[in-house]
Amino acid sequence: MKTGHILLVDDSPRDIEMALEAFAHHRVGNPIVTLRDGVEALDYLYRRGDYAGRPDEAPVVVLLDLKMPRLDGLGVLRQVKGDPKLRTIPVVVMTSSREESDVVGSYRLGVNAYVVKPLDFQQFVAAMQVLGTFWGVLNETSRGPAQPPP
Amino acid sequence: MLSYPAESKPAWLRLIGLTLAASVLVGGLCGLLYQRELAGIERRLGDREEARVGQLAFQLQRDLEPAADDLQILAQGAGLQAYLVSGLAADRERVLRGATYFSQRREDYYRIGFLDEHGREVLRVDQGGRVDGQLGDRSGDPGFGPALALGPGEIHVARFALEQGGAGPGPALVRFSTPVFDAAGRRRGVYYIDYLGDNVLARLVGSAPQLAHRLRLLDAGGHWLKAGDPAHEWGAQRPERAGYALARTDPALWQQLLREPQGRVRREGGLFSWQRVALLEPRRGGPARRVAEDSFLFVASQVSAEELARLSAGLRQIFLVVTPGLLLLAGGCVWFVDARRRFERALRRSEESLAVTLQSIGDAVLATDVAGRITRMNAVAEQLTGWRLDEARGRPIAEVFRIIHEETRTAAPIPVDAVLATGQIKGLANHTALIARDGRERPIADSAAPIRARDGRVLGVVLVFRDVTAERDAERALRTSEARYRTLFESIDEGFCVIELIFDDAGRPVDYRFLEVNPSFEKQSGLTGAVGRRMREFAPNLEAHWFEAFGRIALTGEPARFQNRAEPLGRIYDVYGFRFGDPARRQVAILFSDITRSKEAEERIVRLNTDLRVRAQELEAANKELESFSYSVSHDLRAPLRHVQGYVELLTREAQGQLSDKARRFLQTITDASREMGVLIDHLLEFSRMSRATLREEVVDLDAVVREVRAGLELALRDRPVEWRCPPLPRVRGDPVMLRQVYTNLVGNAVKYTRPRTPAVIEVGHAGTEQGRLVLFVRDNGVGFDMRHAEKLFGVFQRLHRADEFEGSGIGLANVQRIVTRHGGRVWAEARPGEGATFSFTLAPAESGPPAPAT
Repeated sequence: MKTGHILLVDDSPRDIEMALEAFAHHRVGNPIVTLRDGVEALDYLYRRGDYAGRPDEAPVVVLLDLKMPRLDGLGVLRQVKGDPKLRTIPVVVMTSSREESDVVGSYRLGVNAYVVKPLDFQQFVAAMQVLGTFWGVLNETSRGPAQPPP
Repeated sequence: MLSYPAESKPAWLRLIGLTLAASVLVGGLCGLLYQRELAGIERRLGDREEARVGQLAFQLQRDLEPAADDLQILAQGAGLQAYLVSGLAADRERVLRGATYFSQRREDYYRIGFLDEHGREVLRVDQGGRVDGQLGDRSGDPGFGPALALGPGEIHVARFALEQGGAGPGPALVRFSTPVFDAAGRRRGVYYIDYLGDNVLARLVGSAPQLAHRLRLLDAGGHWLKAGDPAHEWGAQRPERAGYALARTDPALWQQLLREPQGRVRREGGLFSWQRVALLEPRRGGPARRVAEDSFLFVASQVSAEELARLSAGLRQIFLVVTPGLLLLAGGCVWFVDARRRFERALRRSEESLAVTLQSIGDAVLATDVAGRITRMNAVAEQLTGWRLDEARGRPIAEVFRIIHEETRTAAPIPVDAVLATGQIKGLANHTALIARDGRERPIADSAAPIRARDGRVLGVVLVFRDVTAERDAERALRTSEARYRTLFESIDEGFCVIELIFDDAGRPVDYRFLEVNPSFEKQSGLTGAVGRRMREFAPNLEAHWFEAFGRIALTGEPARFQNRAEPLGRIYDVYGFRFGDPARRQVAILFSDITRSKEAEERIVRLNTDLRVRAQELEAANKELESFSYSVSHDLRAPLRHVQGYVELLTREAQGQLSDKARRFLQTITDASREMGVLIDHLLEFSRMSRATLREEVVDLDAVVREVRAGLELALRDRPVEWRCPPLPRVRGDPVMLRQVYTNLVGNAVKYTRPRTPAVIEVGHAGTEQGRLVLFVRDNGVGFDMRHAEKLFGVFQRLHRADEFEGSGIGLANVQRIVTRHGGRVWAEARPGEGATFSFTLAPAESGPPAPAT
């Protein structure tokens, strides 16, 4: 079964590695594209710059860290949700921050889900599994606005 | 006092009328006098001129007279008779010599000659004895015919006329002629002398050169020989001038001249005097003289109208000066007479009105004679004394005017006596009362003055008095109000003074003088002994605005309130100034207080507020920094911890089964340590959030809060017996979320530190108020602590127990203190080791009290 790819945007290579490990552990089969900051994410989504030649295929979900160099997660979110062509791509904010301003700001911009990275690795892995299966598998074909997992 | 009655319009008119009448009269008289004087001048002038004309006539005749004598001598000379007989040249020469003799001696003789009976010239001598002239026929000469017809010795005088020659008129001549008879008695010719008329005229003129312009001569035909204008002269010989003859220009006068040998008349506005004069008078007792009928002249004088006017000009001037003077005098007389008449009338009227005036005076007036007996009283006096004048007249004044001292009730001396004794004006003693006839008593004020005659004799006394009941009352009221004012003035704490502004020449206020100050003045102003002194004496450099402000009040009368600094006095004053009394005196009353200290305090407060605002801004900035700091912490501090745990897990999984028990325990320790650190970070962030979060203030039901907190702890207390003591708590003002945090921490601590107790006793209650705030507490019977460490309790990360005894981060109580402080309250703890602890804090009650200040 062919599945759509997941876009993972995080400036921390460790977090990326742990996320990939978690997906692998839970056998999430979707291809995963990792990017390091907001600018790269927008280039990728708009298929420009380094990613001008990539196939015209949108990710099934964007997992977005908030605190990144150059352009932060909220900036990416604002652009994606403000553009009618990209608006339908589900975006999940995945961050260490429990700050209310971040949570409220994200939902105000139209984020599909907001996940605080748990300190506990077991919990982290569990969260990744939920994200991977829900957005990567269950939500693959719907391509529309969806509700975050309960 | 007599008063001159006010001028009324009719009086003016009458006065003007009278003055006009007097002026007309005086003017008329002056006019008549002027006319008379003028006539007199003319008459006298006429007389003089007439006399002069007579004199001139006489002079003329006398002038011509010798010619007749000379002619007779020549005509009867022996030489001529001889010549008439012989006809010889020698005899003729003798005749000629005689004639020459006369011609040379008499410059008046223009020509002397002898004509034969046919009128032919026999001989002729011209003026100056010249005999060389050509002889000719002179039968046409004037008077030849008449002369030839005369008898022996008779003389004919021709008209005074110009000689008619071939080339026009010659000189003016008068010809004297006489017939010549020979021895046989035959008429043989005429001897003649031509008298030079111009010489006659010149002599007439020369006799009075200054009056020559008046001289006139008329010939027998009425032609002018001498006229005012030379161009009018000699009309008989110059036909073109014939029209100027008097006979033509004024026939009536000419007829009068022919009728009357002398006279005078007004002519052409001037005065004309004349006298008829024969050129030769028949001589009595001498040889007969026949004189031609027309050989007469009129000598005349014409005083022209202009000259007459000039002569009368002086007179006119005198009259022009005198007449207005007289008019003024007349006017003055009228005024004087009129004024005197009116003064007399006013005097009469004044005398009449004295009685009326006396009756009309508002004060009582009473007069006595020199013996002190009543002579006059006016109506007010009658009313006040209760006596009628007709009853009182003649009575001693003491009987009618009974006065006593108001206070001593003894008879007061009547000033009349003193005035009669001294002749001085005398005032009444104060507090005098008049007892009227009916016994009524009134306070009065009076004065007595002597009535004096012109010569200073005292004729009596006039006593003027009035009822002063109303004045007395008013005065009493004034005194009361004055006393009240004085009390206020003396007792108020504010400074009060009355000043008098001093202005410079340009009208600018430059200084002021203290007239009056109250006791507080010195304390408030800092000036000692100010009364009578000027402000500049105390503070020469006092700011100009003080003088300007007070000057404005003095000039405009608008009160002003202001605060200002007086630098030379080192004080700040709060001033209220208003104009005091008569504006012309430029006085200002000032009510003021020294507000230097309060003003400085105020300034200090302003300064502090400014500092505070700066601090607040700094704090806000610091807060912002803290916010971004804690944001970073929440991200960046947790991420490595997560990584530590994540990689420990990955390692454990990767090395499954290859690790020793010891290695596994080490890895577990790493995991636990990082988890603890995570909890610490979370608490720290929580504390930070509590500090920064906005305080929402509302009414909070503490009972509900405690219930919820206890419910949240139920799980942890499942197998522990706890005795709860929770009386109803009052409602407070505060942020419900934060207050819940307070109780969560405090009750949580109580549960935690009572773990060794069975049963645990936890009391959540309140204990009255402290400074209007409710005192709330949470008490337990737990392990307690040593009060020596109490101050450490509320610090961040401060713990009094080891972590292996009681878990905890050391943040909870710090958070409690933070929240309570932000609500404006305070928190404190009381405990003893092993005997439990009590944590108390204060909160504002819901019902009243000011909102808690935010920190």
